[in-house]
Amino acid sequence: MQKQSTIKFSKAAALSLFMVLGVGCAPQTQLLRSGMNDMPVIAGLSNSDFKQAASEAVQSMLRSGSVDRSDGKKNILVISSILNDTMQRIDTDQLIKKIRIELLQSGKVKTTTAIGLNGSEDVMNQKYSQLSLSKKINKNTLVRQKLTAPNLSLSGKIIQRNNQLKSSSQLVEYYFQLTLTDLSDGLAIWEGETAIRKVTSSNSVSW
Amino acid sequence: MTRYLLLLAMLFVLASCKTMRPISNLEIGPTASRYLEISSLHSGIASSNLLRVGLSGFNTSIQNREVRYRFAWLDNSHFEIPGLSSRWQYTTLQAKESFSFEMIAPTPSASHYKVYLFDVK
Repeated sequence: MQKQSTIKFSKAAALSLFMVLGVGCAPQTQLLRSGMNDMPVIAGLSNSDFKQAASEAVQSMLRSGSVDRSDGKKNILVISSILNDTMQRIDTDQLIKKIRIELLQSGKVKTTTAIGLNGSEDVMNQKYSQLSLSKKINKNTLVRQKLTAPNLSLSGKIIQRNNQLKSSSQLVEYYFQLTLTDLSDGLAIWEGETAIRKVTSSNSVSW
Repeated sequence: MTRYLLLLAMLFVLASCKTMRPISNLEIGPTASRYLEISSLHSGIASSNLLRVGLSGFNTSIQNREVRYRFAWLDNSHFEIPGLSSRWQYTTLQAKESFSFEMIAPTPSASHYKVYLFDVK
């Protein structure tokens, strides 16, 4: 009887010890703050990579003078197709939104949210015009809409290429290719490419 | 006499307030300063109204060195303006070779700048 209770106690103690070790060894959740020096590097595309590509693209646009205007007006940009040719499921807005923010901040480019490849980015642009039909709306508070047509278009592609280096490592390359087109004549006024290269284990997957 | 002394004291106070401590435009870390020689820190205008800053130097070390650097943009009141162009960047400086960095400010309201350059370690 005493032997059985000892065995039971030993089993319970072993189970408890196993659980404590399991919880203690589990990776702790950690908040990664912006600007930290030791941000983890992954084989796939991370926020840092999109920041790098966006920053280089905008710096190049500003340096080239392609977004300058002599009439004092701002360029109106529409986002065209940004193709994801990688093995990852990414939202290209992770790149484009950063570019739009920087261009807006520069005071040289505004992006239209009323015109796009798949209709309005902000559907309120269309809904607003229907407000005049509503009897609940004070017509004096309505602003007459006059949407601005874009004069520039941003299109591009994100490409991924994997190459085996040694049996244990591979080179993963990402190419961010972007083109700024003058819609008045269909000609590219700026083109840029940013390459981001990572060496990773052959076993790691970048998708 | 008291009035004159008071006036003099006021003038001293006003003079010290008006004289702002000059802000150094470049801050190099102690480790990096041992092997970096800065040849020039210059500024100009890009895209008609944006501040543009360039830094040139030489890595005197016999080893390649990993450094991090950033450009901080300040408005007229010396408040920092956020943007992608002011984030920390990392690069490797080749041994016994010159290097140069440059950046364009994110907004026309950037009127001052400061460059930070540190060894990664």
